[in-house]
Amino acid sequence: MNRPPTPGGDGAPHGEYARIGAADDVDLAAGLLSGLALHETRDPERLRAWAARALEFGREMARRAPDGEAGSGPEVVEEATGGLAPGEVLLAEYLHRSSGDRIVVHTDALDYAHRVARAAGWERDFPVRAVRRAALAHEEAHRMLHGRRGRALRDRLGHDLLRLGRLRLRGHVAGADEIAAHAYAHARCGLRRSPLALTAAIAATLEHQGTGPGGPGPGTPLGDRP
Amino acid sequence: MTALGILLAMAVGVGLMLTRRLPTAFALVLLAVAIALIAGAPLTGEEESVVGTVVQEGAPRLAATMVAILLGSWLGTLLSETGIASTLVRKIVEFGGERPSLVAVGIFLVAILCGSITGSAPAAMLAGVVGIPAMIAVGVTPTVAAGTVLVGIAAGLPLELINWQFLSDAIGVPVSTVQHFQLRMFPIALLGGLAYILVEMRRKGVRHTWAVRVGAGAGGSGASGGGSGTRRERAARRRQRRGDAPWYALLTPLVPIVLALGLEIPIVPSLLAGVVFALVTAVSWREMTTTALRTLYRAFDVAAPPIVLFIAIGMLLAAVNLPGAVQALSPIVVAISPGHVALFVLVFALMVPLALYRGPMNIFGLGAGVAGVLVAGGIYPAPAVVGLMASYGQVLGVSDPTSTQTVWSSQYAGVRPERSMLSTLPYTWVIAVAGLCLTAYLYLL
Repeated sequence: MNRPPTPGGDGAPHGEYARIGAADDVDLAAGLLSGLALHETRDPERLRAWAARALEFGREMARRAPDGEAGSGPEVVEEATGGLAPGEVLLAEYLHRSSGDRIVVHTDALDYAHRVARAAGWERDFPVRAVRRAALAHEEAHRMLHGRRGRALRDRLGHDLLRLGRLRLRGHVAGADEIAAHAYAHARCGLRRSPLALTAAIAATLEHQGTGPGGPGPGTPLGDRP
Repeated sequence: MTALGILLAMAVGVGLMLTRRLPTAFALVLLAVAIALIAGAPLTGEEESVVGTVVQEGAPRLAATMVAILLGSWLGTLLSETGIASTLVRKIVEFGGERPSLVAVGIFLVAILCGSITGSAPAAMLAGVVGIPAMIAVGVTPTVAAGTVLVGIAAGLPLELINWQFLSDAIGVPVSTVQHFQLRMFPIALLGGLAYILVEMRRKGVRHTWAVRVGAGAGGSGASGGGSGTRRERAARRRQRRGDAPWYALLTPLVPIVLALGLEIPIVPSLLAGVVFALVTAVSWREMTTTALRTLYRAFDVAAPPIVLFIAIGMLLAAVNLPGAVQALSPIVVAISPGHVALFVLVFALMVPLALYRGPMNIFGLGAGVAGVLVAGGIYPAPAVVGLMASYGQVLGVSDPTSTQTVWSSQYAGVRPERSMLSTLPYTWVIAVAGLCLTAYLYLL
């Protein structure tokens, strides 16, 4: 189980919080993209450009969203557990199934996120209720990005896979929908600070606490094939 | 009495492996020595002895397989280091990113290619290091993401040259016999894998998260860094410098299989040709020799666990083929082995779970001994034993929660290996039964 950070305690990387707090959204979003193995070989400037376009797209989605859309979609389920695992914090998930859509919010993870925010000195930016609203808005954005809006995001990013004269085949940029969802939640919930900063602060806390990466554990048997 | 003693020793061996009191390789060596002693083999001597026949001659019995494993691991390391595998995955995500099922099927195809080059956890890593987080990022659930890589590797198994060499050496049939069965098994594994992806994607749906995960980059957001070793960091920097592999280098995984199948070139030169092709197409002339040497040395690390296991399996095969063991076990195996074709399929279909958890039908463990007894006792024709073990291989290659690739893929996706087993077993069981039907049709009718 993840140890919750405490202000001034060894579970709180204050230097990292300060760096994250000073960074702008494009830097944070580009950092999120570069963390994906898929973008390992990408030019950092290209990632920054994609991050900026995805952020703008998310903000536009929030501006154009009808008033009733927030929270009026799929069934919302609150679960008190299941959000914290070694090396992982799962705040919310959106499940799109043929039987119906559902958003699951993990309150243990929301509480953890709030404590990270408090350790970083951002408790007024991220009270528990604001984190919950941001989580719901984030998943709502993912729901909206299915279909037409997803294709519009792809076109906005302008990643050309193939070009034959005037014909262009646009490529999908993994992680861009995540950035757009954060930007949507930021604007939709009127937060003073971006959820991207909270995400980066949680990541920094997990790193600082030395929670192992998601790879084979020590229990992986050696000398066995296959 | 001798048979009872051997069966008891086998039961103890399975117990030691299941409870992880001993690594599989060590347990198999002890089991080989125990079987030989119980079968009345003298400790020393030129003929049919424990030291001479089981240990000395048994250890290098699968030498050809070991060389193939080393070369396959070298090629696998090159695919990783040169970015060929990750480029393939990246292109698939870029083409099909908005349709998670399409991305999953694409990564399944990449996993087939990786599984045809090398096996076990290295194959899972080749396809999964980038493929699993990529699938999760586009909305595939973690369980299905891990399962997709696993069924892909297993679908590539019938085309894996190393596997041909192993079954040939272990069961004592020509490579062409193994090839004859495996090429017919491939479409079954391919269809079974596709069925798993499409049905499970429909059942589980699409999942997007706001999640933070250290290291693996899975979930909505991945924190960077996190426990990456310095060698991995250096490799990542080299890949960053090098960028995407050129399109023609992406053909590398096809080179060995095309040479072996199309031009009937033997396994070792086919794998070596794949290595040379990867070096020439994806590495600059200036870095070629250093890259070749560095990846070869790393391949020794990768190949060490299976090679140790195959040394032990060689000893076990030598032990169960001793005249005393064959004489003692044959009557029992004849009595319990179904003679009728329909019963063959039914009984061995019911015994599928015995391939899991390092059970007695696991060809990479005691199953090699069982196969040896079935062949040595003349219970079934050797090609039928190839079919039986290859069918079981589809189950243990995907669903066995103690197999290294299952453990790695599941944990990397953030799910328990047992959950992967529950998700994939219904499909792999059906694939195995189809393989048994194929075996019966080809060799027993």
